[in-house]
Amino acid sequence: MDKAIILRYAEIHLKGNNRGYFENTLIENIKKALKDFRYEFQKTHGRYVISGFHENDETYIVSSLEKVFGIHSLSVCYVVDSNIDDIADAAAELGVTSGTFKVECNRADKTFPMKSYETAAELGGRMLDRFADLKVDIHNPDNIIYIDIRENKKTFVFTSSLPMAGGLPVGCGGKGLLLLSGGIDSPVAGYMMARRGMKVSAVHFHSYPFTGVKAKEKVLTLAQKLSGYTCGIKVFIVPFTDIQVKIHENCPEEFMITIMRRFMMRIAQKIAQQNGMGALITGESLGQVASQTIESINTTNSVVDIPVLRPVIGFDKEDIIKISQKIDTYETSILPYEDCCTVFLPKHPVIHPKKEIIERAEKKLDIDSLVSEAVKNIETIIY
Amino acid sequence: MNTIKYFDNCATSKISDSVLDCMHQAERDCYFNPSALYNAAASVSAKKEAARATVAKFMGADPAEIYFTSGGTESNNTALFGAAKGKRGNIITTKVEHASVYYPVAELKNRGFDVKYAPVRSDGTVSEETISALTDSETAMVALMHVNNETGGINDIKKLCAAAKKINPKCLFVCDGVQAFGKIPVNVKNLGVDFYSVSAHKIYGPKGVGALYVKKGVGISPLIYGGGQESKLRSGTENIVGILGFAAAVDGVKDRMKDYADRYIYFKRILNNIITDKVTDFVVFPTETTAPNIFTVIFRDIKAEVILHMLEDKNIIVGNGSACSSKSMVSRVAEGIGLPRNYAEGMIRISFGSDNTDADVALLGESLCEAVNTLRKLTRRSK
Repeated sequence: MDKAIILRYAEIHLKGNNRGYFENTLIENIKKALKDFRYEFQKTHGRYVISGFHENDETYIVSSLEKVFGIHSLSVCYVVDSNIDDIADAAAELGVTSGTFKVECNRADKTFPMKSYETAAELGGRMLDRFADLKVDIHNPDNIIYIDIRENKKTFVFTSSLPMAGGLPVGCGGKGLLLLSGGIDSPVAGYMMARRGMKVSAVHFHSYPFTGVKAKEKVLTLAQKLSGYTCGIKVFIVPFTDIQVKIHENCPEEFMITIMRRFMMRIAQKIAQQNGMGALITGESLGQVASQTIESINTTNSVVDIPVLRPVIGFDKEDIIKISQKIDTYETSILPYEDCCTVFLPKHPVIHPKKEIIERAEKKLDIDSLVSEAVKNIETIIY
Repeated sequence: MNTIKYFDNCATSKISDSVLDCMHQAERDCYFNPSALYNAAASVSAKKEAARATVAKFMGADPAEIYFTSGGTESNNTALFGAAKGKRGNIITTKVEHASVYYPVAELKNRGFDVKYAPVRSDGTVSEETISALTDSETAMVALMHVNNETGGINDIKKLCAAAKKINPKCLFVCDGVQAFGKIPVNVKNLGVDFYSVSAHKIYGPKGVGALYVKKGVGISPLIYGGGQESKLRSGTENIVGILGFAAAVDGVKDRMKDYADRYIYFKRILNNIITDKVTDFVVFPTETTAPNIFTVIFRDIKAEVILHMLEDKNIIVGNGSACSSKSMVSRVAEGIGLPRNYAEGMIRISFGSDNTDADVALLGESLCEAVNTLRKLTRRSK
């Protein structure tokens, strides 16, 4: 029996004049997600139908589509010729064999000889004949069997819908640059902005030899996992060791982290501006560590002009972990490789830095040339 | 590019040309299933038995006591689980065993055995008195490694085995000999052990093949059931190419062991002199009580991973103990040998191989000291 996948879209149908733009973006993203598969794509009223794929690909197609924002729900259905016997056979294959059920029928093809309610009643009867443990319950059934008789003499038979990622199609919400550290929070932050339709790229600060190839691979693995949600991702790897050493040599130990983060923000803004990105994204969560107090955030934020989006700022660690598990980045994030901060981690980092004092401490550094030097040596990787 | 100077031979070794030639030929010509009845298969079977005799002879065993496996991990698992079947009581081991002993023993604990962890000396070895004090009439097994893979410390297995069996003649002695085999003289009869695990890839042989010595008359159940290969202890079509490669590797080292050992001890002296001359605050283990091929040095206030990368930049590859793994976790080995916290992350394991030259070792020593001194200048960690 042939199978097809019905996709229903999410919030897009709310967007009046922009609807075409949102829809085209979504279709483009779906096709990108399914680029490794052979299938037929059909746009029908209010939904999309994917058919003609190899049965072994079904699981992979569904799991790829689960990451596409803008899709509200998905149903895998049997596709049969529009005659009552074939439809009944397909309904019997759905696995609804006990408990209560009802049949709902939608007849777009008005040449089909039975009316919707007649079809539903007939199929309900046939199901009862086949499965002794089934009972009909019109009001509160355990399962609903949907029969969708299409104009093209084909009928879709399916039972439940899987809830999908929701959100808005990636690309509709502008471009942003995610500061991707390798920890738990930043991939979640990137995921959340992508969910609102933002096209996310990532920047990672690499401090070889203080952090190794494995630490970099870990970040790239995270980026790769995110790329399913972000419709591909571009990663900018910034060599950061020289800056860290210069800060270490010239600035008070307790300001190390604050000044380092100010450099990260400056470099990120420069990359964003060069690539037409309108915002930075960080995984900061208020009060989580010394560098995430409101004073620290203020001090690091003050070196950039473009908006800095912090989608997990009000989240507890546990909430963030739950999302990271859902998007499959958690296990990678907790791999124990040195990250760029630990080698230079001061014993007592300043928790409530004052901007003026930090600015004075930075005076010894040639900030502009350090930033341009780092930006000049960026390595770019695209997934 | 300069050639790599490889000093991590305890992790694995580079396959030797003679082994490669032997395997290449075997891969091409010895494809018959040794269990088959035709003559071509019988000749493969005969080669396999000759290989068994080579491995057996090298460790003082009877060929009938040698079972080929997929490597050290499988050998250890087979010995521990195979011998534990139907038994109860306690198991004596240490916290510095290789993971392929430590975790199977932990699993046996879950299955009802009492586990007694013997305290170890600073080089990871166990004293006779400790084993005498821990062994009792309920002791089912004693599992101790011959050479510690991180410190190079050599357990006096003969004495330890005798001490345990003096108190409880029925207890079985499982010895993980992976780091000893081919590095120090091994005679299983002389050691008195019941099980001895060895691996090919630590002695310039291929990955994926090893052997388990099981003393004649000792009862053991298989982990893998099937066609009854390896006298029913390890079913599955034999890895002929690997087995022949293993025997070739044994042939390659058996007559050179003494020469290698002398050379490595000289290397150790070179390194010790350079380090003593150029660096402060470090610990090394005495040459007399450690395996000749392993030189472990532990630096205070140093993250081994960073040193590893700094050396890598000069094409020098060394190992780090499992000591350096994350900021929060001190390894069980570092803990087991009682390293103070500020030394726990600074373990560098240098393990020599047949390709290393005097000049390489001198370069390693100089580069290592330079890296340690540079890193110490950069980091202001606990003083």
